[in-house]
Amino acid sequence: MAHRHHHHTHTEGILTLDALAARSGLRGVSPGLKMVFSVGSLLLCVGAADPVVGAAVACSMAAIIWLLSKVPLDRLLRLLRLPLVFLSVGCLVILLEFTRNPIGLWQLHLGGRWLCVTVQSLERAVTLLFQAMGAVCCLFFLSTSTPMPQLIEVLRKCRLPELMIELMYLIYRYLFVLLEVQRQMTVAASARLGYDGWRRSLTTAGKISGGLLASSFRRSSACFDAMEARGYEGRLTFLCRTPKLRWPHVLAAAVYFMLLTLLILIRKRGIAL
Amino acid sequence: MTEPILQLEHVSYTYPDGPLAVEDLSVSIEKGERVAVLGRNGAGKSTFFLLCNGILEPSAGTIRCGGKVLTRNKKDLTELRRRVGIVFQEAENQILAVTVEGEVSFGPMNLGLPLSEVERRTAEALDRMGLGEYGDRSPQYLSGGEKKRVTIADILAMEPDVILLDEPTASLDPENVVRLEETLDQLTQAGIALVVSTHDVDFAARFARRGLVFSRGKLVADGSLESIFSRQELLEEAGLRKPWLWQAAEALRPGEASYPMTMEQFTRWRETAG
Repeated sequence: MAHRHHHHTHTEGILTLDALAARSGLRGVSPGLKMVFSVGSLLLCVGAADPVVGAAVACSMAAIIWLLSKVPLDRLLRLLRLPLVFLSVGCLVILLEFTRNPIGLWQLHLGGRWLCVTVQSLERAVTLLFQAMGAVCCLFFLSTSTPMPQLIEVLRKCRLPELMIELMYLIYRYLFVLLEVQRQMTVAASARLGYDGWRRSLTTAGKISGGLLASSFRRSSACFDAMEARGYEGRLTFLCRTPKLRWPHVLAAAVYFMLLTLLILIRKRGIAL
Repeated sequence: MTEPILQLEHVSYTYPDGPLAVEDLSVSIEKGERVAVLGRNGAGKSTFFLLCNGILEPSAGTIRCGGKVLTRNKKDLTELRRRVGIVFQEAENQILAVTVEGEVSFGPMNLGLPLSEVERRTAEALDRMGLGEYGDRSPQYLSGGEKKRVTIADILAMEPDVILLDEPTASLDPENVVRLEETLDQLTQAGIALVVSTHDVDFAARFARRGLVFSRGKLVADGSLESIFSRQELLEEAGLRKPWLWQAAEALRPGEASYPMTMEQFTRWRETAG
């Protein structure tokens, strides 16, 4: 049962981001601009290495995702939960120091040694937490507002090799086809008690992976026939209309970058407002 | 008399590792015609389709397209693939692109048309299949019936003379079968010849007058559906049954040469004597 649950959440993860992007309030904004905006903010956030800047980026991005990209708040919080848990655990390790003598802000005696939190370790952990959350929010902004096909078209414009572009299209397409096959096989297997107990779950999952590979091979030749039937001659091209670059959007992104840079300067130079 | 659109003459095909898949096949398809292709799984129907479109190269025999003998050179093949389209049984195997618009544009793009022409054809094909609003949708969020219409739009955008549909009714619910039949009528009105393979003889009877019956790689019958369903030994050989209405009518008045196959014909038949 636990395993089935795991499968489901995993499937939903990919589908959720994809569905959110398809319905996003920002789907009419140029994907190139969104990519520059997201990656630019990410670099500033990571480069600044400052908790206030990180928190500002994380909060502003979350607000943009919620208010402009129109992702429901509960969905957004659920999306953020996973990286937050992961980062918290990671930062906890950095927060705690193992020493011979009790030092710093907080200590715990542990069999002759001391588990301590120092000012430096606290600062390091908090900085890392916010820095990373800011970066995660930047990427979530991109993935919840930009449908994958548009993203691939941007990469094509960036002169990525044609082969990689075609592979990305095919992988993206067949991800959903194979997920559906996998889901059906999993349901069929659990209907025959294939997920009864840990050991059997493992064997069943292995068999399903094998079955998936076999069915992929069979499918690939059928797909190739279908491609040839429509005159495929070795170049995969589709009509793809991506939203155009609009000046108000560029202006908005520029203002955001300027405010962010200002904040970084204030923090680094200690300029008081 | 005008030339048939597609003509196969004594065509045979053997799969590399198997027995003869299609043997000595001669058949011709006229403009705007409707033909039902019947027979068991593995009888050669799908091979016949792949041969018609040039995916498979005949080991013997010739294929003519609009009267012209086809060679295996690239220009002829492109021409054949433009004029003869296949709608595959599994929409998932045919749908390739990640948006509906991109998907439908794949064929015209491969024909090397100018971009404005590709856009026009794509928009027109989507409109004709009632998919005008679906352009930027992803195929994974479409229903089975919608996917089927996308695969037909795929072929329509290439502006073909013949469309071969491989078991189009399989995996469609009754409501979508009705829609499909309307779509097929619309295509016939547009002058496109339709060749449909199916296991559903009742659907075949509603759809076509002419039938082709395949059995063990051979075309064992080519004629009116009435003549096919009145030959008991042929039905047994090809593993077919008679349409339900035919069976019902036969039970009512045994001994007649042929019986009605569609509801319309049945009503008329009941009114004539009896």
